[in-house]
Amino acid sequence: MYGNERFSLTAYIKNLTRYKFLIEQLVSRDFKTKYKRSILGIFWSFLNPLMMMGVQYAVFTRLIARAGGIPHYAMYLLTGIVLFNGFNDCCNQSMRSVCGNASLITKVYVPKFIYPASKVASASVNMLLAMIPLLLVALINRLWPCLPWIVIPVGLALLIIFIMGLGLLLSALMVFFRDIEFLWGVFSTIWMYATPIIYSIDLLPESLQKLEVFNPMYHYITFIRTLIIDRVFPDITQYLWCMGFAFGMFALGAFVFHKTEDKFIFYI
Amino acid sequence: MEMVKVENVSIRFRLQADRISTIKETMVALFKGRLKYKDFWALTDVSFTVNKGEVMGIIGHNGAGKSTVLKIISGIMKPTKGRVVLGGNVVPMLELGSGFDYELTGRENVFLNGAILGYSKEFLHEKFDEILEFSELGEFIDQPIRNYSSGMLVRLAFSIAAVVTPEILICDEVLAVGDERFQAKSRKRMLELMGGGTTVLFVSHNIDQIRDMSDRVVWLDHGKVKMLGDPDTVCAAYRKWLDSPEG
Repeated sequence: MYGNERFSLTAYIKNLTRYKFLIEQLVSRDFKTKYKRSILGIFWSFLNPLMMMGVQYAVFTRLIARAGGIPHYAMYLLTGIVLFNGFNDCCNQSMRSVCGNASLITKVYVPKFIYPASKVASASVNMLLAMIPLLLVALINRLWPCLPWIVIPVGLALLIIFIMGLGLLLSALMVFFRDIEFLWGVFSTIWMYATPIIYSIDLLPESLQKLEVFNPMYHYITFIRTLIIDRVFPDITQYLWCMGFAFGMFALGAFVFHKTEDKFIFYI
Repeated sequence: MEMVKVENVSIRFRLQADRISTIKETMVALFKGRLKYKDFWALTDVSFTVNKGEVMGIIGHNGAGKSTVLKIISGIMKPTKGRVVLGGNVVPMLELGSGFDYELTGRENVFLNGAILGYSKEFLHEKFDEILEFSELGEFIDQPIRNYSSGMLVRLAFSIAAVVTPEILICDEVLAVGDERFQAKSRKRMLELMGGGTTVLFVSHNIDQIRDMSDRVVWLDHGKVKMLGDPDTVCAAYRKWLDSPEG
């Protein structure tokens, strides 16, 4: 029966399990087509962040040293790059997922959140793959595994929930306003420079340092850096910030998506 | 037993005089108080039921709302008013192969497209040989489908769609695929499904086909049900209307 169902989170999650096979297929499709005609294939998922780190390390290391230095700067950079690139990649792909699948949406009934969800899933797998070279570089830098590392998956899971929410929001908005794609391109660049990836938060003026608490990516990156580089468990406040942003954004994204999804078909 | 119950379904399309799709345009239009819509009712108060095992043909002129009805039944669009009650799972055969990825092989596409149509993994593994055989693709199944001819593509698409025995099957002009031999084969498969207790709704511009295959026919005219009844009567009336100056 197709009536007006009421919004419920449990229904979303139930749907997610029912369409597991479809999501699996869509994710494996993304992987197969992404690297289909490249020689190094999946290794690009490892190489890309390492190369980025190499370039930025070469360019910024002296500058940072002059400003007081950051311990384990290569690791510091790489953590930021892996997480922020993963975030950016997920958002870009999920944002375009609804408009990009217009031909399917108008022909077959599939719950529409499947499209952004599968894109977030495939881009997240990519981000998780990029964690492998990250951990290898940690070992090279003699940052040996320690007990706090068991919380790494928690930090990543919260980041992915945050991204899922943002992906739902962006993909829904893009159906109605194609400008979002271009606005987001500019916005995410600003966001990247506003996040302490290359520099440390101490280098910012005090007024800006206070503003960083409103930057979700600052919290997620700091969370993982605390675990890998400082090798201690994060404060309880760090958990709370990460959880707050994750569930808040997810609720907002799911709400907007649910409210608008029935109208997609008239706009794509 | 009623498998499909369409109750007073109406659907409204909001047409904008000039299509506004950027934020700036919307702001400007809002500011000028010009965000006006023109309403167009693609369907008005359409009601009919289809019983279990029945084959319902849908006819009407271009733009009468035939495909829209099928889209509402398959859940792609939601009606503005009214509702649709279904007694089983629906498999849509709307425009074959829309879920194909041209970079993947035929085999990979069987699984991808099958998943999109809602089949389970076990089911696809079990039926894979049957799909391959029906499609007559042989060793080409492991080639990327961007190398396929259009005939090969439709054969693969039809084979994936036809392998299920759905409770409700929805076909929008799909019986005219492939060469004549494959058409005969796909028609035979359709008849088998129809004989096997599947409830079928189908749209075709071929009136003879509708008359031969349906148990009942509904004639849509400008989004309203103009006539509903046995195939001979409705098709004859529709033909007459087509020949008249109105049609």
